Amino acid sequence: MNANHAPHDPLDAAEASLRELPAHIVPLTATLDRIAAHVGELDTHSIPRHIRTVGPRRWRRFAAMLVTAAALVAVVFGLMHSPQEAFALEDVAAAVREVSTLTYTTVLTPKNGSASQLKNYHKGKLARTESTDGSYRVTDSAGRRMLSVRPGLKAATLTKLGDGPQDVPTMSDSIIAWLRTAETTGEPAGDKTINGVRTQGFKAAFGATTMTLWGDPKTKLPVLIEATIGSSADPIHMVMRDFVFNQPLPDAMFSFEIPTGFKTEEITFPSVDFAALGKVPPEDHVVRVLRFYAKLNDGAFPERIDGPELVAKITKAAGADRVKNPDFMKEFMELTGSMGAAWTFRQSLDKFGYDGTARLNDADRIVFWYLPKKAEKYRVVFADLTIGDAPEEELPKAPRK
Amino acid sequence: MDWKSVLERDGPTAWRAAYRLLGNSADADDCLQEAAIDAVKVARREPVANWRALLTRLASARAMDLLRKRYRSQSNHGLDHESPVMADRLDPGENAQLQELRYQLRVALSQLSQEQAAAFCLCALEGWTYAEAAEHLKAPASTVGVLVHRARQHLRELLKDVVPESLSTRSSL
Repeated sequence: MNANHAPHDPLDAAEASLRELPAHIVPLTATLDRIAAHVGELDTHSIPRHIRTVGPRRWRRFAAMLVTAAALVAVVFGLMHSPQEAFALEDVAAAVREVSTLTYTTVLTPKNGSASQLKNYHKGKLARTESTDGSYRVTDSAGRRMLSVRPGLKAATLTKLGDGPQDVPTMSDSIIAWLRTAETTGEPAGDKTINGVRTQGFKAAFGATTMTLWGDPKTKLPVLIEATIGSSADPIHMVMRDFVFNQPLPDAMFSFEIPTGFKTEEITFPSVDFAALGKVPPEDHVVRVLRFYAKLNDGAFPERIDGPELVAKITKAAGADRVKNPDFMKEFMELTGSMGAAWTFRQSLDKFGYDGTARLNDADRIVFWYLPKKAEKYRVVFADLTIGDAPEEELPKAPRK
Repeated sequence: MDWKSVLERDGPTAWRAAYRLLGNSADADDCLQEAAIDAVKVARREPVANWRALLTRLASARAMDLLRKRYRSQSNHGLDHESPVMADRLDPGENAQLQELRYQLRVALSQLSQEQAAAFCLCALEGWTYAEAAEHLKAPASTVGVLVHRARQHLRELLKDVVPESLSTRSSL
């Protein structure tokens, strides 16, 4: 404290109040462990430096989850939409469904960032994803379990999902579901020779998400898929390439045996019925997401309801301790499905708006609105999370798509 | 690199530095993580002799960034960001006044230049000597002293109208 000033000097008092932090205010051991594990992964990971340092709060939660998240959204969408009259994209989906094994490389490049790469292997209901640092994840879709192994940390995490009516989606499932979503809006994108193969392109867009598939007309199988995913503010370019089909893959690649000496953590997640979620009206998903978020944030609504930022905020607000609560995790997992559905729903809308400045239970404020096809009035969600209809002149003056 | 040992040994000090400025655990967690990620970069460029000091400096800097974002972009009062555990040894009246003071100081800190804020946080709040801060801020110790002095002048000016009555009867907190 500065001796030249009286003890009641507000600056000295404020300084002392901040400086003399009670001794019991310390970080949780679990927090330190989590950060150490995360930093350890980054330190040994060969993901380009830019990715490690730009937006770490976002990337720490999503770099590894990105493909899974994209798959989830695609699968949820796929479950919500039954197959329709198809053209060549459906042929590709059918062909992918028939392959015995599938190998391909995924390259993710964030806006203004460098690329990270994953190698993917699929064999029936088994899948393996390898990172360039040697860490890998094996998923047993039918067995509802997943093993993540991080050799750099000598650590492994075995995740078990509770019983449910569907198998856990794999990336090939997501490709198929994604192709289904493209069936109604996809259009030819011309021809292109890739690695000596003459391919035919199909382009599809879902709001901010765009996808171009280059397929081999002879085999009906994809050669290259290019997509832009994520939010419009932080788009991520995703390329799926080097597809190899029906190549023998040894069972050992999909083993759940944990290497000797590795520290193992086991997590059990409750199951989620995605098919049931798919029957929920889309605006109800928006309500679920808003209610969950507001409950965790003292009645405040998120700034945006799309993109990974919302998931990051909800994950953060949920906190480490609540993850151990089975009831909370059940609700959280269902919400994950609703977030995917809400995101996909939002992507499909032409006239849409969101105003997150209201607070929960402001009954007169509209937070979300969209114009259903052939409707004259907008479908709206009020801040008390009731649903109604309103003419355009009653809508908030927020930016809309 | 044994990050677990580094974080166990030095993480709490850095985390508390961020908590002082932000007043809640969730934001302090984020700052420590970002500081640790920044530390990886630093360690690639140069050998690190004192991880605690490095993490504390980086966590403070991250916390100041967050503070600026919080108070420069929002018009709402920031008291709701602070965890109640910061004042649980005080009676409610004093607690409220000190909470107000801390809030005002945080708002004022967000208006300092980066250099002044960094020097003030490390020397006034974390108790570093000018020489220690100088080493990490890559400036002469005399410069750090000037920065702290000017920061205090600036903060005192910003806080001059904040004089909770009970503070005149308290000699220390």
